Amino acid sequence: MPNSGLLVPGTGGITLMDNKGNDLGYPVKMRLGVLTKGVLAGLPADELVALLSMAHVPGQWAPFRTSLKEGVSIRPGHVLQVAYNQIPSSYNVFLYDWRADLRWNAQELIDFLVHRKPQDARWNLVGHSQGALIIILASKLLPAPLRWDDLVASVTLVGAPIAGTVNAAAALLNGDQMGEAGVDAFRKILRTWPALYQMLPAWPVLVDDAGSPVPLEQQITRAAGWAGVEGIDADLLLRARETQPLLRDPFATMGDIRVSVLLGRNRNTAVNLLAADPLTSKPAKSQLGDTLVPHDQTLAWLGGHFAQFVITHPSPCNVHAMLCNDPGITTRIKSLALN
Amino acid sequence: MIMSPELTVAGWFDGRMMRMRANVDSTVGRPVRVRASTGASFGHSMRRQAGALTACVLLLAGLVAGSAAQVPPDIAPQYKSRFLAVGNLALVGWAKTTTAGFVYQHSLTPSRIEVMPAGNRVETSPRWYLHLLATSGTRLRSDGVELAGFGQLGLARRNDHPTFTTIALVGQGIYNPRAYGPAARVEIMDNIGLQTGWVFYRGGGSTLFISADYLRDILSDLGLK
Repeated sequence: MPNSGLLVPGTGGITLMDNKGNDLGYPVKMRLGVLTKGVLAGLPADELVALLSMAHVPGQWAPFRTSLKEGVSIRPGHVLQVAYNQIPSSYNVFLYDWRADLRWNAQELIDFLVHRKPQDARWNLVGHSQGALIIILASKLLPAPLRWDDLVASVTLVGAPIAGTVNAAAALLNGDQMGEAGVDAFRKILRTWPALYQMLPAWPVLVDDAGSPVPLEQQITRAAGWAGVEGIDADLLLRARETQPLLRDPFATMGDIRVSVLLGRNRNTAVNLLAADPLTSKPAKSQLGDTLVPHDQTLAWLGGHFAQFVITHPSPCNVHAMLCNDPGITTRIKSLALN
Repeated sequence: MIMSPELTVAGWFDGRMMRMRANVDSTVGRPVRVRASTGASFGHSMRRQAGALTACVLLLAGLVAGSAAQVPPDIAPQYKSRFLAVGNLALVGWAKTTTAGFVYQHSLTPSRIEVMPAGNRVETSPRWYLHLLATSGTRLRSDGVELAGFGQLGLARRNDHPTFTTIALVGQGIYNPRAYGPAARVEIMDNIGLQTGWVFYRGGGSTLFISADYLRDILSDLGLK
């Protein structure tokens, strides 16, 4: 039996549904609702705060509540074809709540890989963005005596923010990109999502006026790094500090399989933020990347051995969110993951 | 620091099993951690033997270092292509036409691959593609519905613009009414194609042509349907 393909999409690449099966319309319909105060579609911003906010209990990876709205829970819906229209339809899709703790979703992925493993065959995994991190974490959290290379034949990571991304900090600061009308509401919402904290940069991202990194205790995964910013959750920052070491040596427990990392390198991508009070998302320094993953910074953080698995895609190449529509990227994915 | 390969050497000493393990830093080709353990007590003489064995392990570890457990991608230049099932709405003059079909684009040249000093491969994808679109469906008339179809062949160029990912110049043929002509095409994020052109009827005369093709089910994908 041939190996089976499995796509693990990225942040926002899967719709969110409520417990009655209604598509919440994140982000397009939701943005329309925010802009029109719910007149045209969706809901006004203030009604979304309770709906989309999460609650977590310190020390527990699983979400305590997936929605703070009374009687509502949120679960993943379907993959957005607009972002994955070149991934073969024969591929399975791992659906997960991309707001939740990465390690929780990694455990869910392990369950999926084990219980739906094709008979006498293995998985070819393709992970985009946050999906790549979940694959890496699943390989690290796989309980003995299970072996990753018994389950998985190949891993292809696309636009993988293994060292983190400044965009996660920008999202926590600016409340995503819901426009002026939604800034306050989405700041509150996004600051309850562990995944965003866990994708904060692992390198010393905050620099002073001279461009030198500020001390570790004042960096962005510490409370002191968020001077003048309210609502940053200390427990979720701790989750970031716990998760980043697991991503440092990404293939250490993957065994004897084929591994590839496809990274874009043709667009300005933020690398540093100015340590300020209050902290803002204005980049102090940028370099080439895919708008979310800074290419050289990621390779530098992961060390020289990592580079041999990287296939760099310069211009022409799509922006981060649309990498899995780009023919340069997806033709390569097919040759790597389908053989 | 990468510590992927783990070398295990085992042997019998004084009737007791001794196992030594070395995690190998395959970046620099030297072992970074050595641990020795036995199934029973570990005497002074055993320590000397373990020292000799450690040296062997280090030597072996040095020999195998550099070959990571994972296999790096072995890639060759390749032609790039994309296929997309689409719906299409068109105005030929004032006649509304609804069709469905596919877009296929195939690069004119293969990609180029270079190896960087850091060890990563750089794959530069081609910009120019052969563009093909074929759809069929129905045309609404005041007196009913009739079969209709479109075909396009042209050259497409991929851009770095975040929204307008591809532009193209195409020649197109239309069935019902039978017409042909040139058109300019722009693609939005590889999901929507917009084109406008001028078509010449086979029996004489000409008119403006406007059409949009789009990823099927795009509205439900965006939560708008």
